[in-house]
Parts: sequence; structure tokens; C-alpha cells
Amino acid sequence: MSDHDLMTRPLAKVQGVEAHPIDLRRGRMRRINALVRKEALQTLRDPSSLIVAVVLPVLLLFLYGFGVSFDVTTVRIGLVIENPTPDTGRFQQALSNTPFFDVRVSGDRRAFLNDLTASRIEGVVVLGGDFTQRLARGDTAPVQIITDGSDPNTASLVTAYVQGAWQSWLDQRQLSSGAANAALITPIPRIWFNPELESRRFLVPGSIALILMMIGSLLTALVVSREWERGTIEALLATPASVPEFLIGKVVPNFILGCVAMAVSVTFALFVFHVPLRGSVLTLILATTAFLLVALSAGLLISTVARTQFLASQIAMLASFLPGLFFSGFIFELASMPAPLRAFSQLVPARYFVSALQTIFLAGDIAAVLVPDILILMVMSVAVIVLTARNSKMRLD
Amino acid sequence: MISPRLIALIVKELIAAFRDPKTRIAFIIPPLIQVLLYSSAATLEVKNVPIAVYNEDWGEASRQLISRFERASAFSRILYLTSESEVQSAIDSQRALAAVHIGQDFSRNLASRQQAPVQILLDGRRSNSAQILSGYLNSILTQFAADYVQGETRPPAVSDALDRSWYNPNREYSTAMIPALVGTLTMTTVLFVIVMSVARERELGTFEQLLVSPLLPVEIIIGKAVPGLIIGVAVATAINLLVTRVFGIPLTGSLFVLYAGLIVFLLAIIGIALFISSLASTQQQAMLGAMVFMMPAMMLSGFMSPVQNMPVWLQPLAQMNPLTHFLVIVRGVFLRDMPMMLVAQRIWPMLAIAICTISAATWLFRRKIG
Repeated sequence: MSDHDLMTRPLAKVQGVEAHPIDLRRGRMRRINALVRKEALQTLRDPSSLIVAVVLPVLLLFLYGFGVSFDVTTVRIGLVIENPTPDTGRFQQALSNTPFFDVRVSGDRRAFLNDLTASRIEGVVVLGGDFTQRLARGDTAPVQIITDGSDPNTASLVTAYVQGAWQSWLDQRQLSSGAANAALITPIPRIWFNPELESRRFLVPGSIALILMMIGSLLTALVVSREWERGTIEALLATPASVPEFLIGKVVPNFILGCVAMAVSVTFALFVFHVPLRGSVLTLILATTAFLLVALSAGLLISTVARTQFLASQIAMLASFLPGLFFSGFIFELASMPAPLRAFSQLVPARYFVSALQTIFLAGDIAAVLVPDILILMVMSVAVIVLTARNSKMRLD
Repeated sequence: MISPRLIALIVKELIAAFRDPKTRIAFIIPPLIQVLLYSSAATLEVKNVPIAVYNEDWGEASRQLISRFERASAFSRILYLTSESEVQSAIDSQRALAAVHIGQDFSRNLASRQQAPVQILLDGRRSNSAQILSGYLNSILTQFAADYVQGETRPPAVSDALDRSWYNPNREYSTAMIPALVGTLTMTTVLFVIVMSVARERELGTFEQLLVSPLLPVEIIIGKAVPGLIIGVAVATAINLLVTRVFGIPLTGSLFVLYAGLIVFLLAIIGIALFISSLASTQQQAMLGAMVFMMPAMMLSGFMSPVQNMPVWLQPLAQMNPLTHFLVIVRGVFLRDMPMMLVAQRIWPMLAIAICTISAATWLFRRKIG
């Protein structure tokens, strides 16, 4: 019997007795109900699924939320003043007045060489020996900012911070000297949605997407392979349940567990990481539902390939973790990647959920972002479910 | 003096590690995938991003400014907007990461040498990229302002800020990320080799045979540790060659210092692996144990973002992680020509971790015999 036959196999086709369509439907509902109950009981009895749904998200969110941060909270700066004068003193003042700088002063730049090499400071600012003379002469007095390029992100941020302090020193100087030499164009930056510039605010929603992908695929990947491993799949095959019914039975309880994992993650995000929730809970539920369907059916697809729990969990972790980490836009910049990788990222479901979650948490219900994201997730879930149903060989060989 | 039976055990372990074709694949494929990913996908650089311009000014100056934006390579395209509400919706819908708002009086103000403010609106949903983008836009504006007044009999600028990066002058992400693989890939390989080899023997029952053989517990530990060390050094050497030959990232520091750090790091990882395997009795438990160690070890190591940025109360945990110290050494020796004196400060903590975990594992194994 081909797979296709299996999927559309008439139910209760017992010894040539043609069943009435309504009976058929009723029979199907009854079987699905029974399967869902069986799976739910099994899930509740096995503590490992509950651990995956409750403990794992907390643990992972803790690691991502606290472990990854791009916010340079204190910038430790080595200030080299080769020739101290009142002018350099005022510059030092401008740096020290900025709350996030931790300034140490020395007369020789070599004093900070080891500190920069050992990452004990984030940057060195050098005022040359002729700084004051040049200022007095009306020449351009250079301020050198040296950062550690081996951490490019921090280097860029530190440069920007020092430039900010330098600019305010310059403004102060212009103001006190009364010269109309102030910068002609003054950029006024305004950051929407996250004015405090806390990277955690966008990293936490992103990590929730990654975590839910892992958990969703892990949960369902385990349940089918468990049946194979324990041999109970034979008993299931002997029942009149068809492949779709079998799959629905597997997905429903894990969907509820996935929702529990999501609720735990969202609670953690709101109350531990203080991420705002600007969108509506309804949109959040909608996006989560669409994404969970993708994640759960991806798990099912994995378990149709892997017949041991061990292998299934390995594949689920790897297949959800690596693409989720690299190609979801959660940490790394998709736009800066080479074109083939950018194209590949379009196929990663986590990408759309990361974008949806960041918008729901930080910006609100913005249809222009959320409608495409959720639609794509729905299409993906249908595609994966169809693929799974086609691949599920309900045979023992 | 190394006893012949110890050598026999080490040889046996090495053969066991490479016999299984699946394990051989596990040595080659995951490292290759990771090298590919970290060299091309692990980037926080901001380029190819769309920005929006809302220009209310009809003068020549704003047109010149916009043509500067058009020529900048960081932007993939520029959206031209005509109203405040369009700005709002362009940012909301993520059609632009930033919007530059040029006011009505821009050209007039510049012509009369008055300050001309330019508003930059940024999408905080990607606040890190937004900050970097803001830096780009600022420098374009500053340069434009400087060029605008060029040739006039104005005094030269009072001061300028010269921005220089040491160790990685172009701030290439791949240069910063790839050397770290010497630490992370070596760690994962060695951890799994040891953990799985002990657990496999447990499952097959051959570990009992080892325990009843004339080998001392210490010898069993050494027998498991030495192959791990050999494999670790081999993997690290292969990645070193890849980093320097294929990616052309030069090793600025001394190779000797790097290997001194590597061997102590490997001892610490081997100690942790042996400790995990002394607790696990099946392959599945061993794998789980390795994962439970690995995920925090990767996240709390400064691999993704600097340890310095973590909350203060979490820093001690990061210091207890051997990978944290080894990543400092690897990045230091590759990119910053780190002297032995500074490397030594990072070797001591790893040595302490190695001693603690190896003695704990030995004690646990010995207890099993007793």
C-alpha cells in the first residue's frame, strides 16, 4: 500500500461494509480524541517533557539574557596626556564627566599597551605633547582614539562614545571662547522603541524564538522516536488510526507544552529582563501558534527520519540551534552576509518569528511587519506538515 | 617511566576513537560547517541596510548631502519620503533602519553659517546596529559640514578625533571570530571524544573489565586523558593551519605561548569530561551532561560578546569557565602579540580547574572500584 493510500485510507472499511460519511467523521473524531488523550497522559507521566517545557526555557533564557550583551556599560579608557596643561585637564574633565567612562591617566602611551592587550581597558585616548600649543596657535589639535579591533563591535561603540565626549568638550570650548566656530551641522539622534539602547531588549525576544524552536522540535522529535524505540509503534499501527490522525495526536499535547514554554519565557522576559510588551497579547498568541506549528511539525519530520530518541534529539538540537543562531537575525546581521547565505536565511522559520517577536515586544502591533511574518510561518507550517505526512511510513520495515 | 601497559591502553583508546566511521565523520563535518558559518555569517557589521531620507529643504546643500548618502557603501537603498507620517511607517515597518530628517531651513542656515540641525531617527528594535549606523551617518554629516566651508578663510578646525583600531585595523568580524574557533571547536571535539568513549565502555561493560585489569585508577584516567590531549592538539593544529593559511590571519604572538595555553586548556577540558563521565552511566546521560556543560560554557565565555558586558554577579561564573581564559589567550596571541607574562595570568586559573576536576574524577572512579 503506498503512502498516499495510507493517508486517504477509508476508515472502518471492515469486511466490505461501506460506512456512512457521518459515521466516518465521527469515528475519526473519536480516534483523534483517544490519541490526544493517550499522548497527553503519556506526556504528563513522563517528567522529561515537563522539564523540557519549563526548566529548559528558563535555563536558556538565563544564559542568553545575561550571557550575551552588546552594551558597553563601563568603558575603561586609558588617557595619555604627554604634556599636562589646563587645556588637557579640561579634556580629561569632559571624559570623566561622562557617566560610563572609567578614566585612568598616564603620561606615556606604553603604560597602557599591556592593559589593552589583556583587555583590561577598552581604548586609549592620546593627547599629544603639542596639544596645548596647537590649540593656542589655532592649529588643529588632534585627539587620537585607539581601540581594540579584535572586538570590532566594542571598538565601534567605544569610538562613538569617545567622539561624543570629544564633541561636548569642543562645544564647551566654543561656548566659553565665544567663537562662532561650532559645528555647522548638528545631528540629533533619536532612537525609537528602545531609547535606553539596551541590547537585552532585542536579544531577549530573539532568544525566545530560538528557544521555542529548540523546544518545539525537541519535544515532538522525541515522542515519535520513543514509540519506535519502545516498540509501541506496532500497537499503534495495528489500530485503525490513519497517519494524519496519528500526527494530530502527537502534535496537540506538545502544542500545549510549547505554549507553557512560551508563557514561561514571556513571564521571564517581562519580569526578570524588564522587556516591555507593547503589542497585544492576542497578536503574540497568534504569532506563537503559527511558529509552534512549524517547530512541532519540524520535530515530527525529524522523528520520521531518526528512529532513536538519542539521534532524534541530536538532529533536533542541531537543526534548530545552528540556523536559529546564525540565520534568524537574532544576533548577527543578515544584511551583511554574503548573498547565498542571505537567501538561505529566508528559509529559516526562526527568522520570521524573531522579527515578529521583536516588533510585538518593542514596537507594538505593526501590521506591515507582522502580517507577512505570520503568513509566511503559516505557509511554512503547512508545507512541513504535508512533507511529514508524505514521509511518514507507517510500516515496520 | 611510562609503563608498557599504559602505552597499550593509550593505543587502544586511540584506535577505539577512530574506528567508528560515524565518529570519524563527527570529527570532520561539524568543524567544517562551523568554520564556514563563523567566517561568513558571524558578523555584526552594518552594511546593505536601507535608510530613509525626508527632505523638507529645497536648497542645493541638502541635495548635495543626499548624494553623499547615495554614494555611501553602507546603505543598500535610500527611500525618499515626503511626510512625517511616512517616516513613522518606514521605521515601523522596518523598510528603513534609520531615517534622516532634513528641516526646511537647512540650506538657508548653512548659507548664513548658522547651525543646521539634522534629525536622525533610528529603529531601536535593532539598537546595536542602529548605534553603529548612527555613527556612520554622523561622520558623513561632519565630513559634509567640513567640506561645505572648505576654501573659506575660516580658521582650521580646533580639533579632530582620529579613530584608529589596533590589532585588527579594519575591524573585520571574521578576523575576530575565526581564531576563537581554535578554542571552541577543540573544546567540543575533546569533550565529546572522552565523554562518549567512557560511556560507550560503560554500556558495553568493557569498563568493568578495565577496572578489574591490573591497571591502577590513575592509569585508567591517564589512558583516557592522553588520547584526548593528542586529539585536541591535532584538532587545534589543523584549525591553526586553516586560520593562518586559508583565512590569512597571521599569528602575531609566539606559537610556543599558544601551545602552552592550549595544553593547560585541554587538561582542564579533559578534567571536566572525565568528571562528567564518572557521573554518567549511559551514552545518553553522558551526551546530556556534555551539553549541559557546553551551552553555558559557550554563552558565558566572551565568545559572542565581551565578558565585561555581563552583569557583575555573573562574572565569577565566567571566570570559572576555562574557555573564557583560553579565548583571551587565543585572541591575544593571534591578534595582539600577547606576551607570556599576560598569558600566564590566564593559565593559572585553567590549571586550577584542571587539577580540581581531574582529582575529583580520579576519586570518583576509585570509589567505583572500592
